[in-house]
Amino acid sequence: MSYPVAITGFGFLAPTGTEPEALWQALEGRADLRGPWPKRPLDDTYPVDGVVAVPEAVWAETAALAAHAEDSSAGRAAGIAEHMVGAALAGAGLEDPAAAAAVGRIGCFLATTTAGVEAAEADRVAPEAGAAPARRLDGSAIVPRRPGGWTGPTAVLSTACSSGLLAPALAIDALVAGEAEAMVAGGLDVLLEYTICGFNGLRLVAPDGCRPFAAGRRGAVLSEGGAAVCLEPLDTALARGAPIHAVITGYGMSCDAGHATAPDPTGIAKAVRGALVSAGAEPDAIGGIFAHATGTLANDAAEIQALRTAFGREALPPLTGVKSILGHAQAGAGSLTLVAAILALEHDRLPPTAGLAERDPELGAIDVVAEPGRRPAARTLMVDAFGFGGNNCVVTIAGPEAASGLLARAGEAASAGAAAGPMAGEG
Amino acid sequence: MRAPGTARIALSAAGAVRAEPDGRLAEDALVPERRVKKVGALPDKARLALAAMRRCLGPEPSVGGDRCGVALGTWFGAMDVAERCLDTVRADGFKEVTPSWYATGLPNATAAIVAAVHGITGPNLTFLGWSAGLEAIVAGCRQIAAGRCDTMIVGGFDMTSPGYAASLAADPVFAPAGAVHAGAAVLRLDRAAGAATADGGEAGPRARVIGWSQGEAGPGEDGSGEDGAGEDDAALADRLVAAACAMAARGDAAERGAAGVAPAPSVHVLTPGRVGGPDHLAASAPLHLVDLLARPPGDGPARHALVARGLGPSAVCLLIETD
Repeated sequence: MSYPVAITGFGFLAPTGTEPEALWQALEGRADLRGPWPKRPLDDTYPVDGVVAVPEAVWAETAALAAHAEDSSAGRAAGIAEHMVGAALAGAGLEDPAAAAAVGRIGCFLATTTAGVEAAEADRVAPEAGAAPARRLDGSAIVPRRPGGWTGPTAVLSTACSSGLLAPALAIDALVAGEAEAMVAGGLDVLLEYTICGFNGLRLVAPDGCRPFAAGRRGAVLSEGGAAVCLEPLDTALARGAPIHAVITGYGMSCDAGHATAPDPTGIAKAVRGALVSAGAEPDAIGGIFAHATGTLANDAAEIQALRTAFGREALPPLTGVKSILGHAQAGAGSLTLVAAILALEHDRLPPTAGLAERDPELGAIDVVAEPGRRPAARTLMVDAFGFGGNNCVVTIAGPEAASGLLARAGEAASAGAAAGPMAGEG
Repeated sequence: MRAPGTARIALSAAGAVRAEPDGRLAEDALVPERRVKKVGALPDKARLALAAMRRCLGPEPSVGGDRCGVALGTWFGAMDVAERCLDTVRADGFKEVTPSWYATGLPNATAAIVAAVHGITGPNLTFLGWSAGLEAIVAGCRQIAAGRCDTMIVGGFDMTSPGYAASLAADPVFAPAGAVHAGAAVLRLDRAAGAATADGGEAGPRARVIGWSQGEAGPGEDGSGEDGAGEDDAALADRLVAAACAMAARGDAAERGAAGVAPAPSVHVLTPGRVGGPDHLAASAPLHLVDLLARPPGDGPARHALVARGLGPSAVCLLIETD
């Protein structure tokens, strides 16, 4: 990418809470976080109601969350957004309005599939409370207000389970277009009965845990949470001495234009290839793939086939699937996985995939990280996020030590006249 | 390394569908197809959006492929799916829930269906909120400006369930409009050089997008923005229009070699419940744009700035120039 973008801060709410170390320990330890849905036990209403939920204690202990946890119509989604956006800004040193103003215009792109539906569901579950006002049904209201106001673009995206990765990608477009000097972007979703019902209806929920790439895998485990990253052009981030957690080196996006739920390897491969081309990366430069890896038969197989097509060979970099531990937080999944990849770069280790007792022989020879302590083969990682409707997004990130080299390369590309269309033709 | 926006994007075609004054949908407001091979059963909101697209581009549009994308906005999103699923579970049990309801009812399902029907494999974006239709148009412009696409199909659609149509019409936000109706507006954006013209569509406007801006609408006096007004609409419009005009001025300079004095745009401020008739939620602002483009040509080029503020903090401005 002729326009490297620094990740200068991040914030998240995962089923492990809000602390990076707790998240990392759960990932490396292959923690089993499954349990019944604590908000409203569904007993035997649905075939499977085991989920990976944010513990109620976490909602109560986190200031931004607690304010929203008990208000069933205002929405927990708004609480997650407020927390993760605030943490991302704070991590980037932009919490203080004066410091933020010195950087310039700051915008916010968030993503969700459930924000407005949260209030609609409350209407159905407790109709005696009366219909939720329109303002509470509005999905765009999850963008939290900040002191001084957002001075760059704001929007709420909804592209199913690719949303959380696509929002940062679109935020980069806004930076490239010169519409902001910094963008906070990410995705989130809360567990709702509507989602539990929907995934059960599609028979995509596994009663025995999410086991990506494993023989006999039966599907996903639903979860909740979200994450946001603060993005700044690498040159200006370095110039102001901002913390550099990682550098986004490329991304690709595509649409299958096919079936609503069945993934199309051709469409996914376009997004993977777009990310590789955009990053100017050869396949050997990718040290690990944080796969979408929902644990369904069709999704995992399509992803492997697409990766092989895009990489142009059978052998793939080491793969890991964090949904085997964190569950599938839908619009939160892509950005939570991005945070997991940032932590992997920080620790220089790839987190293992849980539930991998026996690999699926139908997938051929794949190198799935099964044990903790595995170092990435190179310091650029790939993150995948795909969604219903055939929405695909793939991002590559490099460790902070690559910053100066990436900047020099970008300067050379700009000199060569490549700046006019940063990703032109990359699909 | 950045290239501040100097976009010149053709608005090549536009089409719209609205409910009748009594809220009913006329027969031609939905495409007649109820199923398509690739997708299966078509939800009515997708049939509505496809009808608007057909009016925009004609029955056999020449769009598709990797260099074409879709960006649509919706306010209602998947609320009808939640309503339908939960009501069915409670009344008849989970076994009566149709598996396809969830996936084909997600907020992005309509944009995905539009892409599937027309083989559009470029970026596929869906935005949420009352101003999401205009935000989708801006997002489409950004995709073209970034060089990722040559054509974007953009706009907004919304169709509530009957229950919500009634409760929203009574909501203080939408009550001034008198009703909340189904509607969809679809526009075709093309990279300006050699832009295609409408191939059989009903509108065929000659206009171009010359600037845009987005930002937060300031909060109300209590700091919450919950009073329905917040920052004064005129002040908000001034701020956003100035930013969009700055982008246009860069384009003027790039195009003509000198900025000169650009004509001041006519400003159209659009807010929920105050759109001069039934509210069409996220389709409201794109419908206003389609109406604007359908007006008879005046005496030379004119500039219009559409400013939409929704129920959340987001506000957006689209600056266009008509021939």
